[in-house]
Amino acid sequence: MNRLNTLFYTKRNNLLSIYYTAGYPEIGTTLDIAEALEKAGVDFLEIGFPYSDPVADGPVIQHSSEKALENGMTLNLLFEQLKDLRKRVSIPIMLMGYFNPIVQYGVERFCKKAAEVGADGIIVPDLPIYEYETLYSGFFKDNNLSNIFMVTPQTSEERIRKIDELSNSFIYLLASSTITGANLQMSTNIEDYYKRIKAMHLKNPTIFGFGIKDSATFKNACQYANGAIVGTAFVKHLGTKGYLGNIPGFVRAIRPKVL
Amino acid sequence: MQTDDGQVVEPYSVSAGLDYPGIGPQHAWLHKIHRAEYVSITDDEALQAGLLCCQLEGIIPAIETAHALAQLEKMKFKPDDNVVICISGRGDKDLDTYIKYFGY
Repeated sequence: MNRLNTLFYTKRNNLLSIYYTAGYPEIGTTLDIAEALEKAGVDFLEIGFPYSDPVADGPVIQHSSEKALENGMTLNLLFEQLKDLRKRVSIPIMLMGYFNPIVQYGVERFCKKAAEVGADGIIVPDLPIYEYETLYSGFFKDNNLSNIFMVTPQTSEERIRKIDELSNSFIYLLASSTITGANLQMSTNIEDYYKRIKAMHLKNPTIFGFGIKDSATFKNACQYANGAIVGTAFVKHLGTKGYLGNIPGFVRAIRPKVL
Repeated sequence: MQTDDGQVVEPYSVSAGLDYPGIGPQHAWLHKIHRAEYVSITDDEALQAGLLCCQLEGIIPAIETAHALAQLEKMKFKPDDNVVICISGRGDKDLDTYIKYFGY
């Protein structure tokens, strides 16, 4: 049981999560942004740590990763910044990034540190299920950290069921089989995928991500899942002047009222 | 090739095929168990060896391959040694680089 479980126990619809890359556009605003997002009513957060080769990301998040690395962001620095996380933020927090920096940091050490600063879950798009299950799941369990698995339109039913078994907070559904920030092609194929997943009646809550960028895409995703994640659109917002003060406006534009 | 933080480092090679920061698991393993020896060759050494191969054999090797050819003159062989070189690719694709380097 962690903050994620409590959240999903109390709220099952129109959940909004926001992703941002720590260290972008400035090195020191990680907690300021988190605090502002919570105040604006966001349900949970994904704090990304940058990587030189973000293969699942489109140009906007790629650029944010590059800039964050230039600004000097590292896992060590991020954990240092997050020391006071739970003094300022109470909503569930996910740490999101690619696996190599975690391997170099030490997977067990990473999980310990993540739990220490108060993170609730980890999202690592390039950590395969087999490796997680056979090598690392113990570190997650020992530290009460939830590992979030991703499902795409190509994932087989068998695999989705397996993911449902292994998951203990929510399942990350990719809204389309592409990189972050792409325009959602609302074809019949995609609608079929959404309907197919919904009809499986998975045990875990489901949250859509990749391509969710405004109230229309958010609302549509919430018809088929418990909520959705906005990443690229928010990272774009961080590239604008006065981004911190304008966070409430940004959040309201995605989810007009707390439903 | 990576930093202590696990960020990939920008590699360099005059040849595209070797301009890559990673290594396959077979080579990593062979190196670890000391079953194979891995050496390095400079751009100059590779291009010179590539030209020599053209002149002596009438074969234009890929510049990737020429790196292996460059190692030959650094080694001492006995008259009854069997020496096998894999000419991993043709150099037709590399003519621009050879021409530019040698000023032809």
